Amino acid sequence: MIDDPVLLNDWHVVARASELAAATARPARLLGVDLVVWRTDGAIQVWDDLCVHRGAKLSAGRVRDGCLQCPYHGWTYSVSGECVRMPAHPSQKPPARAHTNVHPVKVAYDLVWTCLGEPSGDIPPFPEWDDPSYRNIPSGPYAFRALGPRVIENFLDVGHFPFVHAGYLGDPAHTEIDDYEAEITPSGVIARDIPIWQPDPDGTGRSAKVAYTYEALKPLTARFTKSQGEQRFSMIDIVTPVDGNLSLAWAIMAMNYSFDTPAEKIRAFQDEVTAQDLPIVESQRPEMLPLDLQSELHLRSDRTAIAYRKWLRQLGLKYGTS
Amino acid sequence: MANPDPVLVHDWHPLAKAEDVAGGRQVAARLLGEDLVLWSTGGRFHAWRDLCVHRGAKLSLGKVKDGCLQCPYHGWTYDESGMCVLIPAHPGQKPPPRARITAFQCREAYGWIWACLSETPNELPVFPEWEADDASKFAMGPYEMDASGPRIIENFLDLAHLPVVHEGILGIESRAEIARYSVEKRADGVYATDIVVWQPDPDGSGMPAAAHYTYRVIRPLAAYLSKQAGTSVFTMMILATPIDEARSKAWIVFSMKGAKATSQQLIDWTERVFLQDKPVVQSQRPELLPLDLQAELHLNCDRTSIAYRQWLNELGVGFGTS
Repeated sequence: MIDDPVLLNDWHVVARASELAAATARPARLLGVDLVVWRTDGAIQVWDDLCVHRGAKLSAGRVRDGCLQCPYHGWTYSVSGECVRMPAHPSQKPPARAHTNVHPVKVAYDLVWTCLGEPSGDIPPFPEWDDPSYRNIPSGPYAFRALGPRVIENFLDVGHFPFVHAGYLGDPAHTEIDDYEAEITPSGVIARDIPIWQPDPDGTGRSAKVAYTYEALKPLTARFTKSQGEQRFSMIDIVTPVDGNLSLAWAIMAMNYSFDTPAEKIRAFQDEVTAQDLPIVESQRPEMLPLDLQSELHLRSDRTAIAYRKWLRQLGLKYGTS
Repeated sequence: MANPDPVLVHDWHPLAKAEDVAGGRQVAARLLGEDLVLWSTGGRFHAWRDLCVHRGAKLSLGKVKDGCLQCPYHGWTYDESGMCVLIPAHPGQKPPPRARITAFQCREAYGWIWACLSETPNELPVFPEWEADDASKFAMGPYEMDASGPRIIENFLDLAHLPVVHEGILGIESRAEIARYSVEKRADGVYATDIVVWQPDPDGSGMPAAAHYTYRVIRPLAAYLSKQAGTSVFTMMILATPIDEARSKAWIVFSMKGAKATSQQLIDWTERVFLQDKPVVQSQRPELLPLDLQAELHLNCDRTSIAYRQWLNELGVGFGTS
């Protein structure tokens, strides 16, 4: 287990709710802990993925009669996580130690959230999800062989658009970044109204001068809204710290325009943009984001990153930082 | 550097074929646990640390442009001296002096690009026949090996495996006995002489002959062989580039004088022999060559290996040894 109190006591995404069929189980991994995510007819459960008898993975078992059955010797666990039946000794009452660790579950934005410790806050807000003037397009999860803080910092970065996303989010002929301010607030980091000229800001193929407002909502969750007139394109990026090597980025895009553009087209655009980022972010060294601002170079255009690193230091984040 | 070896850092190591870097291209390489980018412009070759000081991205994912190397992430542009000369997000701002890349010694020889991580390199290993007019010469490799450099070199020096691993080519099992030969450990390397081995096909021409071997270990990871069989003289130098402690790239140059085999037969023969060794060497455990002579068993026929291990120990080679 990755020993980071900040993340252990926070909510993280382990599955997409609509992809979890009734009476099925699947594995997930969070902060180096193997989990089983399963659904009875209704409720979703998140447990440690381990049968106490011989250590087999419960996610390889099956859901039967509202219980989860271990694939090895058929030990059967009820939704409370208690073993209720040991088939080799059907009449014996299972011992009290025969239970698995049950974690709290929330479902929001069609995502299944859990917490391995004591939840100290709520899941991050994304008001566009329930706002009827927006359409929501989920994408991902995108698997990065990189640690969460590098993934989030890349999401907050504007200077790379003309190089990594030329023809999409930037143009090699427009590389200069205008001055902007970034500040640490009680709820995170915010950088407002950064003007950027983009060849194709949203996958619809129409160029525009947009203004970005970025926010870091949690150590591993960030969002932006880019505006052009009354049009708003928002995106939230929620990074699951899988373990010391791997991160999963869950994204939701929300738009208050272009309702006729197929969701598949917008999602394909985001897949393409992420595929452009992936090799660069995976190449970054050190893998741990240096919170000492002396160890990498920072420019005016990096103000969001500077504020993000300072904020992580204030929070005392250990995972993925150095 | 993860584990800078006090000896190997001063040696030259081949890293890439010149033809893969020439013409304004860049490739990633790794030497002694250090990620490098090799690139060229105007016929000049460079070996740099593969890390942009801004956000730690790999420069080898970037591109060569107008005689400079450009980072793939934010387009920071470095001239041949390693200094950053352009930060596209702030084109009017002079890059800070810290914005520079560490450059290592780099040169071309035998059609390969070589680098040395030290400011005070040793001499390049010399293959004298490369300049000879009356011999056919060939450069081969790289061969990626999941093995430590010293294990690869020691296999090259090994006689007793010839009738077993190279049965029908460099020996036959019914004549596996190794006659006594001379070994001498000097300050500048290990010399093994007066070796006679009966071989079914010593030079790729398919004619059996008694082969007379002379070995010389030139550097810890460079060894030379001269072999006379019938009317032919075959010489070879092998180099094991240490990527990580247990991962290497092997490079070969060889020359042939007086053989009846065609060039293609010689190349095929050399490669066939090398590929017979590869799985066996990769299987050796421990992966790091034990310099303590008590750790493995040594016979009379292993006296070259014994001298090689003793010499490595005297030099203080730590990378790839235990």
